[in-house]
Amino acid sequence: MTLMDDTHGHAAKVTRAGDGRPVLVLGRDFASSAAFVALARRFRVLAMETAPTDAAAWIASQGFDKLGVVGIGDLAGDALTLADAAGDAVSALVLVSPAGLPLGDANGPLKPLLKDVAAAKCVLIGDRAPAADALAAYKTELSRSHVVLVFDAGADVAAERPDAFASAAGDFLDRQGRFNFITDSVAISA
Amino acid sequence: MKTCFLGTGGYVGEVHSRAWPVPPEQCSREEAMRSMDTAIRQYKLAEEVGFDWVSISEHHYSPGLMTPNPGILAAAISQQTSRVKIALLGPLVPLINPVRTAEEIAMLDALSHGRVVVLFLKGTPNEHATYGTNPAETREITQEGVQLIMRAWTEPQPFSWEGKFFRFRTVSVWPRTVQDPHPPIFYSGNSDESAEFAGKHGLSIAIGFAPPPRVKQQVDIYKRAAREAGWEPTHDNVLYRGRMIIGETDAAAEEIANRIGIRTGPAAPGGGQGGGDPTAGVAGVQLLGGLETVLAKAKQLHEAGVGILDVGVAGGGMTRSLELFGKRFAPALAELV
Repeated sequence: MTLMDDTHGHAAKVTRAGDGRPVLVLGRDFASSAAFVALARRFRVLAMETAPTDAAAWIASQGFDKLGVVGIGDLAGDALTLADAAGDAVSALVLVSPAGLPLGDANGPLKPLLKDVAAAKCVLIGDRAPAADALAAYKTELSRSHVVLVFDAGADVAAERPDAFASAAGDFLDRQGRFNFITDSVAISA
Repeated sequence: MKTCFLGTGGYVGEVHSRAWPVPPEQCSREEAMRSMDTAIRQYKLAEEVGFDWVSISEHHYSPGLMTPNPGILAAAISQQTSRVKIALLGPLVPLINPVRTAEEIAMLDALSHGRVVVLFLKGTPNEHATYGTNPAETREITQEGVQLIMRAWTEPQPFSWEGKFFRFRTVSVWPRTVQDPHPPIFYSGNSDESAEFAGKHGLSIAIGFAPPPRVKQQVDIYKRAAREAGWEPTHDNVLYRGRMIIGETDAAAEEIANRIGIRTGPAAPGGGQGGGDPTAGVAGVQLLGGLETVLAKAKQLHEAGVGILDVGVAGGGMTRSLELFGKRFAPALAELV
């Protein structure tokens, strides 16, 4: 179902599907994709192409206590900004085939957010994408992050392997910090 | 041209069945132990007589090759030799956990001080029946598994793998391989598709039991794919597996072949599992004859692009064959090509 939300004077087209925990996805043409359908099998998905101006107010207006956020392609930066603005309301952040993040020597307004955004983060990258050669940079420069290499995908994981996208993103949104990383010492490494 | 001793880890006792699988009741526990001791002695001797490499295959439920996990025998060999490359030819990717295998081979590379070479294969039809693998998927499983293993060896940070056949939430292999970025990787060159895959992904190839013209055909396909991917393979990127009976003369070698009842000549690539010369069998001996004859055959293979000759030495007693190989054949081969 597609609705126009008028949030603090900002008109945003939102396409909704599915039940369960809420997940906001920022991605171009995502609402008409197979990836949207796949993710909506597990979550209450809200797909938008433009982030709400006041993220915290918008989340509250929807009646959500917490929600997961997914940013795809060139909207990954907007998802990062939204997660920064919304603070604790964002339970997990998934960046899918992210474009334009200021890694390495690159700079820009997003640079401090790589470290500052508190939410657990997961980055999905296709193994055939040029970004796959810089997997470690995402891991080391994004705080509380993990990288998922999606086999047989190029520059658009969600479009090329929608089920793999939904599987990896969905597991992370469900489990967050318990997805795969342990921050404390464990018996074998103590 | 480098030479590789293809050991079998074969059962030294008597076996009454040639079917597959062979019932375990036919395996004497004492002979099993003696078989492994014999295998280790042969590998040590191979190093002493001058082989450059030794190889161990993965096969299941068979007295002929009792190496369901080649890494275990390779680990033992690594502690009994000091010079030879130790080639796992190879782990059967559809039957294994690729990350576990990446970990084990990295261990082996450390144990052997960086002497490991590995060939990843998809296995033969009987082996797909071993653990219930779908034969229709083995090529795809192998291709994905090899790429996962290469990532596991080269990524400096932990990552997850969301594949079509494999899914791992955390991959972070310790120890790292001694060889940087990883041990040399071979891939089957027997089919056009696999030769192209190897060329495209910067891998070396192994071709089994084929006649030299067919070897050249596969090497050409491989090199074309490699060039398109921006690199140029050399002879060191092409391994040939075959069986050898070498005698003092052609007649002596023929006599050995007749005595042990094996046929001669090339089989189709992959051990004769389809196509190829109908007069040649899986059990064929591709390199048979006196010194000059076998050298001429090896030269043909070299001209077809082969740089590593992986040979199972049959007949006439293993020790005698290996010594003849080392004293006469290896030096002559080194001089020839």
